[in-house]
Amino acid sequence: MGIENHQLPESLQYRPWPPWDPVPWWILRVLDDRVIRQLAVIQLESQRAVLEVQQKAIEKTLGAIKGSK
Amino acid sequence: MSRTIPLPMADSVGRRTRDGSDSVVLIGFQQQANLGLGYLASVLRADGYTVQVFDFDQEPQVILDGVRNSQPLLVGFSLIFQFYVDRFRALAQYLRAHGVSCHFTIGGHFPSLSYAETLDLIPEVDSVVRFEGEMTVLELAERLGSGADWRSVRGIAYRTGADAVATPPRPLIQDLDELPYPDRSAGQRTAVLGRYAAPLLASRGCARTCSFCSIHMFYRAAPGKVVRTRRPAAVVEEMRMLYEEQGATIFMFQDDDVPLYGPTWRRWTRDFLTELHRQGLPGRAIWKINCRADVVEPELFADMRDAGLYLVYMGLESGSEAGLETLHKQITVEQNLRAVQTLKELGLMFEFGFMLFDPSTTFESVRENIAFLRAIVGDGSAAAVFCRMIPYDGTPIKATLAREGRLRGGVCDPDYDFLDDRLDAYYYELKRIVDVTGWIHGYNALSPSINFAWNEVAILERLFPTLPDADDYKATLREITRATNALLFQVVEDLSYAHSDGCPHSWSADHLQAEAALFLNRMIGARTEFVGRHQDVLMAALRERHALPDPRLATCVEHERAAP
Repeated sequence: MGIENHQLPESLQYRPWPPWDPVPWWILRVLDDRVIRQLAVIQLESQRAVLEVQQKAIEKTLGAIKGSK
Repeated sequence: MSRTIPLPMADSVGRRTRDGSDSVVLIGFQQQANLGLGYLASVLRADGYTVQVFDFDQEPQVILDGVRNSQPLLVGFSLIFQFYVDRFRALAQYLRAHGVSCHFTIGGHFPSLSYAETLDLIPEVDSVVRFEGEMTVLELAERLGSGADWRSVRGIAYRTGADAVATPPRPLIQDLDELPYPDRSAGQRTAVLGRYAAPLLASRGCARTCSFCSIHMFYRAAPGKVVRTRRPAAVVEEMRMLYEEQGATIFMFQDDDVPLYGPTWRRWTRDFLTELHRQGLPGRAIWKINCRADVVEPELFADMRDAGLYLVYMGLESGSEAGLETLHKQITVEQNLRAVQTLKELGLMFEFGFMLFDPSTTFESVRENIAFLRAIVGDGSAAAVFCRMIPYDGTPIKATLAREGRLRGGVCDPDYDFLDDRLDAYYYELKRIVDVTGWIHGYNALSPSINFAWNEVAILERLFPTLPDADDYKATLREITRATNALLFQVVEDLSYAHSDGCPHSWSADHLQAEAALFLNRMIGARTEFVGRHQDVLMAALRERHALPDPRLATCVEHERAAP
């Protein structure tokens, strides 16, 4: 059987650059349940904030459309 | 090795003498280096600030400890993609929840163009730094440090009650050579086969007007000339410094669009090549550029190759005329094909961006795109990659989709409906089958892994002694690449006919996952055998001057030297 990648000198080992798609996996890898729950709440609150912003935009657009009649 | 690069300072930057007690913390993604944060850090340092740069991927506790130790005047967040806005909010809230009360600011394309939404979505942030941030952050830090009113700083946005207000935009930096070299000490240094790769910029801005891209909107929204180039001699001087002092031999230009378009910028490139030869870098260092296909022409690119150009990334984006029109690429399929052919004839490696799906997509255009991909990479010259166009904030295409009532999703998941309902089902099935297998996207995905192996080959051919059986290895790699592309294209086509005409297919994520693993193992096996056979020659080349400036790499070699 031939040589394995890890048997090569360190600088010659096959190590692709990370993809240009950064994802902070530390959220699940590192944090304890309490903090993950805390972040989940933040995530959901962010989603709610997104929806609120969209809601505001809809109201403004509706207002503008109605006002232009 | 980690240090800041000293540089002659421009008058407009090095105005103040500080004792270093004023501190600023910058946070952003550092994969493949973040030159944006690097420039901010070096400008602030040149003005006497102590600057700490953190990778967003670091554990929050580490960032929190760093911020607490620094006691900064401000924390600056660099948001590169809008769909990470919620994650930045999570970190900002985490820092606030743990008692960090200093000024928080955020910059980037999305915050600059959509500052009101950013302030709404991240309430922990006090201000947004809009457009090019170097001088704005500097002034913001100065105002915060002196207790002066920071709300009158030009080029920011902030809240007043329920509203967001923006101060007049700060003009773009006209003379890029006034800036110090960017700090490259944060994040991991990237190396290929022990050769250090350094990112750099020769210009900022883009003259084109692609409908899906927010970069030109970002630069056009601020006053001043949109595209600015550095002096060719200054760019080469930075390369020479990185080569001599840090041993960089691979230079990755991260320009929005490398100056090649039109007679003025072609002359710029000619001057750049002359300067490279004058400084003796060809043959010792190589470089990669990003450009459009319509600037690729045989004579100039042959000269660029002879001066060290080894890799060309092109945003081809579509193989369909309708797609190119929708994306406002102002280019034809024929031009895309000709550019690829020219690069192949010149022996230059190429990579490309490609949007298999865009708002104008039909089943016919998907098949046209696959025919195009077969024409350019069916021979195994590169692994096929593609994605779906995303309607970023601030782009013309987003406005068009909104007008047409097709815009879907929010800031973090912007999306749109296709014109044909069946395409939505097709896309999501294709995404499920191909993405789940890790073929194109994600860590250790097949196509990017193969393209990295091709990148290694191009570097081996230019920065290492000639290896006798390199052609055999290339033939093996080409065959693997050809086979992976063929399978991928078949899946895309079969699924398209399944959804358009009801033709049955037998592809599944499990099957493709197994195929991808086989291809990957075969490719890594061939590569390891090849490198293993020549490791003595390669390591000897690495021991030459400039090859191992990084103490970590030097330690590896010393360790290997000592091994029996």
